[in-house]
Amino acid sequence: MSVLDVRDLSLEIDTPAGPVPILREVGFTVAPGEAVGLVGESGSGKSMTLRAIARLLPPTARPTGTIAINGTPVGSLGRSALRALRRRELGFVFQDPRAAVNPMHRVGDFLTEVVRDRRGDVRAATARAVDLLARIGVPDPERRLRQYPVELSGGLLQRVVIAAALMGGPSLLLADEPTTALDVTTQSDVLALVDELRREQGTAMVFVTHDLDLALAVCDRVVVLYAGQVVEVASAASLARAPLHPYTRGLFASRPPLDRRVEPMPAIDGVPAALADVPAGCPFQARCPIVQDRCRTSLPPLIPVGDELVRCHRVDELRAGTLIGRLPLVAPAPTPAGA
Amino acid sequence: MTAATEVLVPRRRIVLRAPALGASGWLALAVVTLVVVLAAFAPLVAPHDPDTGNLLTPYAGPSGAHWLGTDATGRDIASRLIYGARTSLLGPAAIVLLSLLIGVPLALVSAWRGGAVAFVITRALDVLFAIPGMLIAILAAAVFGAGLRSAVLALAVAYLPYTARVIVSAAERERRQEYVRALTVQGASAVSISVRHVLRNIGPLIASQSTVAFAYALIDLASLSFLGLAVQPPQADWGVLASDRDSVLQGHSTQVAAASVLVVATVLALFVVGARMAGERPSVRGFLRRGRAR
Repeated sequence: MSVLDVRDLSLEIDTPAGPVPILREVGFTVAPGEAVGLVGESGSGKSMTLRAIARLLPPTARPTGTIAINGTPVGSLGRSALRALRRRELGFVFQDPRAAVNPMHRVGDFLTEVVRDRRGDVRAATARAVDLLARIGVPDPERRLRQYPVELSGGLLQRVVIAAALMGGPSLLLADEPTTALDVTTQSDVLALVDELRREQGTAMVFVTHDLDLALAVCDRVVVLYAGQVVEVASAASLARAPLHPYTRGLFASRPPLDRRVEPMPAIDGVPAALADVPAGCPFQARCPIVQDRCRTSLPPLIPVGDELVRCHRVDELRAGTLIGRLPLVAPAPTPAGA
Repeated sequence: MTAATEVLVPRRRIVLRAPALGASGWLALAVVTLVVVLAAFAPLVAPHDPDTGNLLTPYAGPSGAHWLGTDATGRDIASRLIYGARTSLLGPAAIVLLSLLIGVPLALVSAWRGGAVAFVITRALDVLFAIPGMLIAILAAAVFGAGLRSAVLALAVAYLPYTARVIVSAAERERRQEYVRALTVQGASAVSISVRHVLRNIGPLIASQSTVAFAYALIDLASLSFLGLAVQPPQADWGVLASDRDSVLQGHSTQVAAASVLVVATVLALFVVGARMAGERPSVRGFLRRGRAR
């Protein structure tokens, strides 16, 4: 059984001007211990998908579809059942550690919050917190527990947030751009440690990022979102080898090379579309270099290609490589970790 | 290596600093403290019993025995003012505490639940807001009889919207913070997040707000006592003492003047302390503007 099963997740947000669609029929699964990346531009719905999974949506949001965590449908859970599920199964790593920790409480109180709340064994929880912090590369963890968040650097604080997410031994870790607030060197350190801990505990992960290389390095599989819809699902290895969807190819082609200067920076033509602005048909039609008439009238389904899924009418031609001259050139991706 | 690290990361300790009250703030706090100490130790401080007088020495002028002289029945005015501080301070304290007791849970529930619950709570507070506090108090006096208890209850109800609205908006702001979401997804309960985190973080604001509310309650309660609707003579209370028209008509205004000065000084001091706690720089103009807004 999969740890996470998202099926037909659609989402609208009520505004004074009427409901605004954010997600349309998003679906994917995460197997135990698997890491799945959600990538896409800003506004593609990655974070909203993640928040829907944890039921952290704003009150004006109206989600439909089903989300099951270890077989339990999340949407229909009552208050206390939801709390128990979050406590036992979920860990959530937020983008900005400064915002995700109450500045008025000591780091130790933050890590053992839920145990205190449940009147559990605080001593054991503190020992576990010290152990986790040490494992995640926080020096002198006992002292850190007595400190306030302002006394810790961003990198250290994000490790604290990650430790908090792992405190309950979750089966599913939800990470919302966990390293965006960190500098690049800290970023790789933190990710490597998370990956190690995650593999050790057999924790599955959904990793939201707009950094395609990062997703390929960290994740087993990648779900590419565009305008609130899934456009491609593929293993990190095959995505690195041959991305199929024109949007994914565009994303790959837009990565700035590290070894030489390129002016202007490569980018996909046009502007990212929000689901609300997408006309009938394929969401990517306005920016697609190989658009056809049918793309403007009918939405392509997610078409299985081997063990991948691609939402494109011209998937056969893409596979055959006959369109290669009309698509952006893709530089080889760095080899994914573990591949 | 180790030495270098220690230089780079000094072992700092966060020290809880005294609030930056400033010179005027500390002076005001001294005034408030003095009044509170006088009230608390009234039996030790007051030179005479406040309720027994010597009918042979009415309206005696200030002397060594009677610092501020005596009133119409020969009671020591200074002692009556000192004892009067007790009701004059306990009354407003009860008003503020009662309004907090109801207002804080309402505010936390409203901020946590949002939606229809918040709508009902804030609208109800708005309706209450529209009724002047003095009117509620006069109504209460008419229904339940004049006295400190009905005045305190009425003013507690009247102060509820003032207290609660500020706390509601602060709690709502706090509730939207990412850390609340982080705690939620960790599986912390609503009560624990609301009390241990939201309430604690808005604590300083509540303290500052309560200080100012206390000052206004003091004025209102003294006004009600002045009108004969709250504390009843012969019990000593600043409002009662300030309302002694007979003595003024007879040409003895010491008691009324002293009681009035005490009310004004205490209220101003409380106002300055409250404003300083909130990080404001209080001014006379600001005080008058607030007074008018009410």
